[in-house]
Amino acid sequence: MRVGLVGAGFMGSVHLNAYAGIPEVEVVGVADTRIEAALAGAEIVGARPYASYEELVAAEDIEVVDVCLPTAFHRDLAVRAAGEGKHVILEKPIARTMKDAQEIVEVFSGEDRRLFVGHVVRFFPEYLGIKEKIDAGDLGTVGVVRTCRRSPFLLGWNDWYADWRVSGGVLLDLVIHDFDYLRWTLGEVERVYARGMLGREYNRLDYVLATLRFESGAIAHVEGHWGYPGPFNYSIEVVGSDALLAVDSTEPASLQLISGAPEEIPDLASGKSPYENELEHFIHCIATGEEPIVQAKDACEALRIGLAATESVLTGEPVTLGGRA
Amino acid sequence: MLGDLDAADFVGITDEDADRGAEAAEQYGVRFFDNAASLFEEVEAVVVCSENKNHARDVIPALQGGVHVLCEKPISATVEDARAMIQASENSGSQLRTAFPVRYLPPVARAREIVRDGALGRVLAVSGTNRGKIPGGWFLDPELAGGGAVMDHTVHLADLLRWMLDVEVKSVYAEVDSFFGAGETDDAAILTLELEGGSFADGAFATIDPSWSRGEGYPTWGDVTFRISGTSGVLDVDPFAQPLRTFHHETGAPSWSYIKEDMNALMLVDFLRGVAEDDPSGASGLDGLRTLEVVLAAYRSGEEHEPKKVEQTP
Repeated sequence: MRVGLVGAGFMGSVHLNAYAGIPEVEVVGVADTRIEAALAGAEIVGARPYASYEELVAAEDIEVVDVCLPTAFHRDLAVRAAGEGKHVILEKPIARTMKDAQEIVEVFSGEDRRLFVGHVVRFFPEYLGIKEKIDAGDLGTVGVVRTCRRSPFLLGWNDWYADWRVSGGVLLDLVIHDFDYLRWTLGEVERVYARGMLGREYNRLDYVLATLRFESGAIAHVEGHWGYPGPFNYSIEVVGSDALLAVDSTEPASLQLISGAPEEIPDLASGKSPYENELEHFIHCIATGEEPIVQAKDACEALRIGLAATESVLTGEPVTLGGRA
Repeated sequence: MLGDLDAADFVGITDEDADRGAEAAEQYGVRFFDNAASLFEEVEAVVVCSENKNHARDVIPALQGGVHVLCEKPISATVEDARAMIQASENSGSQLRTAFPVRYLPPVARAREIVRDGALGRVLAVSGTNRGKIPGGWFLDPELAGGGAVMDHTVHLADLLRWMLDVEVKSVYAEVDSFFGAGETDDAAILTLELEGGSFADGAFATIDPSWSRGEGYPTWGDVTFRISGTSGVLDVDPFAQPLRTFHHETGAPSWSYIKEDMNALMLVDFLRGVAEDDPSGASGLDGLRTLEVVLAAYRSGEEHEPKKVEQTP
């Protein structure tokens, strides 16, 4: 499968490193307006660098476009690539607004072209393991869930993460992982209440505490931190009527190298990275026509929860979700 | 524990349930009093551990009789009771303290210093938990307890927020439910608090998880944890994370026992010191009332699914 990747920033290089381990994939071109980023990215996979998607698609015969651009640019490129008959893999979130997300889903509906959104937490073995145990009934009825996801602030192109209009802040860029995972695991969200930094003018710092009430009755407490002064980390605790399950990324110590700066994404010393599992799965779905573990409509619903939480932060009121797909 | 303290001459016990009271008195080698009034005549200070609904009944006569009182938390089940207790303390000049022992844990006291010294910069938010196993007895009787997990566990964290950050709680949003088998009463909740006042945490927000979400098989009784996130740092406080871990060979059941200072002993020593030195510092009756008001706002929010202003009684 011939892949072209657009946007060789932080997530672009994560994807490229994952592709390097997938034999079915040949990344033939890497495009970035910053040519040095395109060069560095292309080197990871032995691809050719390009200064734009237009140059890449004109020069290379690609089947798949992997989009790792800032969120607000997802719609234009996804729509354009669809028009050119490409399959598209979008890094999460699917888009910055619900309108953009629906427009993207629309252009891919009813066509042979496929659309995938990288909600990678579904491919983390610990999160997968928790879902399997919940689905098997090992926990009984799930009551209270607590999740936490904290990341140092990333300096992206043009500092786009810091621009809420482009990135959506910690809710749409980071916490949306947990929103998607919780919805996958516990079902639809009835109501969300959240407090955060939005509107408080903190530069390169965003922090949120959100409470989700699910239609099942379960209550989830969700913590997200952008600009965390330590290494990236995450945790989840699920308490059901029969059992308590907990995972904390700071605890596993199967392999520890103490030497200078900590890794930004913890390596649990498993065989494959979750990103590799995710992208391999998407490529497999393209090849076989199978439905993916995370569908575009799921990405829209995760965005809907993220936008509801955003509205709650801004208004100080709980937001009831309606009009589910 | 009272009997082990040098500063205390442990005189006696009174209990509505005379059998239970007499048994306890015998166990600790002290006198049993079949009515509270006769006990109050012979002591300078009492610790009140009756049901939340009966705190006022027991505390007010003690205060009126010139006896200093350390009252278990929550201070009462209603604002009216708490108000009357505080009034009795003011009128009699006897000290009324609310039992908030967590303040006395060394990591918690140290956390207060760290945050007040400015190490975190401006405080943005606090995420706290006080989770435990489902208690038995009257704790599950809404009539006697005034509520379930929210009534039982919210007040410790609400007190720490006020004490550490010099804030008041402006409003509360809460999701409240019952999942874990507490029966008639709530056993699970997440509260979100808007904070105001103070010089370094005004406008911050906080969450409290007071759920009875630890099962019988959990290796320890529960926890008190809080994470303070500020503009220049994050402080994680988990004072009981210093356990001896026991794994039983046959049952496989793990058990964690906390090996450091006993917070209740530290609190009792400070109460006795306060009585001896005529120093009413420590968590007051008003501190108890302010945390009860947070609980009551949380229950109103849980019913109506909207943030509720915390009504501060004068």
